[in-house]
Amino acid sequence: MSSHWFKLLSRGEDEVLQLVLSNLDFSTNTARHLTPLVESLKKHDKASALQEVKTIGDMETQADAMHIKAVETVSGGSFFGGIREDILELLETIDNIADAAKDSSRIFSQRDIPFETIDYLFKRDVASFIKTLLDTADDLKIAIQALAQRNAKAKIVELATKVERKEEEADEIRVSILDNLLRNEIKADPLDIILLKQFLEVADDVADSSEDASDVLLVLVVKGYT
Amino acid sequence: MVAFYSPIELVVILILACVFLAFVLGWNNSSLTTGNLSNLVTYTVAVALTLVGMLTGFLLEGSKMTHSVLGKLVQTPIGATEILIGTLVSLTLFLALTLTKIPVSLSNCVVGSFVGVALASKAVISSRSLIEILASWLIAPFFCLGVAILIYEVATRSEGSISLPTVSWINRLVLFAAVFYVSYSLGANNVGLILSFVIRTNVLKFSVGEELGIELAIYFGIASGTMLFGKSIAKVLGEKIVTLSQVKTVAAMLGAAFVTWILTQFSIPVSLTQVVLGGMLGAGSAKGPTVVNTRGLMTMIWRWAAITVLCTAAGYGIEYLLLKLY
Repeated sequence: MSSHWFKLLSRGEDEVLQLVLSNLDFSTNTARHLTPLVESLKKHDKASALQEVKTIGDMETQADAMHIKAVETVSGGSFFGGIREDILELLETIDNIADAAKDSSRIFSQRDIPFETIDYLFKRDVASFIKTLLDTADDLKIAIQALAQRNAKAKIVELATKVERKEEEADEIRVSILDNLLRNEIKADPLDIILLKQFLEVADDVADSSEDASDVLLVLVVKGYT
Repeated sequence: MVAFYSPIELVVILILACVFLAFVLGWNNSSLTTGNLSNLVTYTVAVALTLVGMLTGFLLEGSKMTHSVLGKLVQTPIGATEILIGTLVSLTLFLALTLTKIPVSLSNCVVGSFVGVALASKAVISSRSLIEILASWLIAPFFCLGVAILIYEVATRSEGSISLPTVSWINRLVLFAAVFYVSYSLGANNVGLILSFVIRTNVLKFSVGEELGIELAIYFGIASGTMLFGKSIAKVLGEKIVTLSQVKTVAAMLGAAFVTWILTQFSIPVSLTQVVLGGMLGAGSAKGPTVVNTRGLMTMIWRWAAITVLCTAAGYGIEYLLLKLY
């Protein structure tokens, strides 16, 4: 039987995979708004920053709805038998990416942190931190896409390892930013420092969730194949 | 007993006993099929596939088992009373063990009981056939083990060139086919064996219509057992003895179905539970770390041997007592 027929007959499984990818796309796009948020804060543009917080919140709500729909589809179907629970786990970790974006951005709408303190945060490369977080999620997408390819076993393991390395990279940048922030040379309000620390840690969950998802991919490879 | 009942009454009791035996068989064994599909389809669909498989196997190849025990193993024609005793002993022990949720073989119970009854009634037992059956019981699980490993190896070599969604789809399709094949083999071998107890009773000559009615009654028995209770034994086998992936389950099921079907062609009563266990061990040990509950496995093997001996003793004892009393 040609690969075309295999593709046609395994359409249900392919659709589930597409569902996972579209959920990831939406979650990552939600997290992408962290970049303009940070840029607005850097430019002291409070209104734009709050607009980004709102956009992220709205998108996260949509991501949640997509997640619920995807879970219903996967649970109700007979596809990916034996690894369906792992697909659901994958969807959950993907949803956590959008959750992390929302929870981290909300900090800026909850308290009016002085720009002096925010500038102190930006003494280190926060933009690069956010970019690494998003790169982790992008690498995860490439790894998930590999599930649909032939001879993908070794490739998925390699790509999952790449996601893990990227997550470690994000961790290192975060630690470096945090080290500077906690020195608090400008004697800022400790509560503001704590909130900015929380922003970094919660935003880091974008990479952590991507890494968790890549772990699920490894489980899928182990259980899905012989 | 013949003194108490007319031939017709005796045959009716025998039919009822066979229907109930089929009911317990459905209860005990068919969960091997429905249990394996529980993750893919609803229980109703799994049961429907199982029942269609059993019916097809029973109708197409069940007749191959009608001389398996009565004729080939027990060569002297024995009376309806003896057949009834053999059936009731098999039924009682099979039911008792099923109630305790112990995977038990209908073939072990039936062969043990009828050998006991035949020995007590001084009927001729074919030593060749007996050795053939005992050897098949010993060899079949190992044969199935080999077949399962072979199927698994083929699957391993083929999957490299296809994607995970396709692997998953093929697994799903093959598992459906395997479940159907297992049900088919069960219908042909075990249900066919039960049918033989009525067909081989020489007190009445059945018309084609009556024979079909008896077949349907026995099928109704196994179908009811499957529909009402088909869940627990698969868990005992699949979860407590060996833990398997879906591909390994497919290999084990296909191997078991193939071995059962092959033995049906030689009219040898076989235990599906035993060959499935062989298949599960084969698939489980084919690659990677094997998680086998050795203690549970040894207990199960020991129990199978003990049950056969117990059935022989019970069949012999009851027939001996009846002959002494009447």
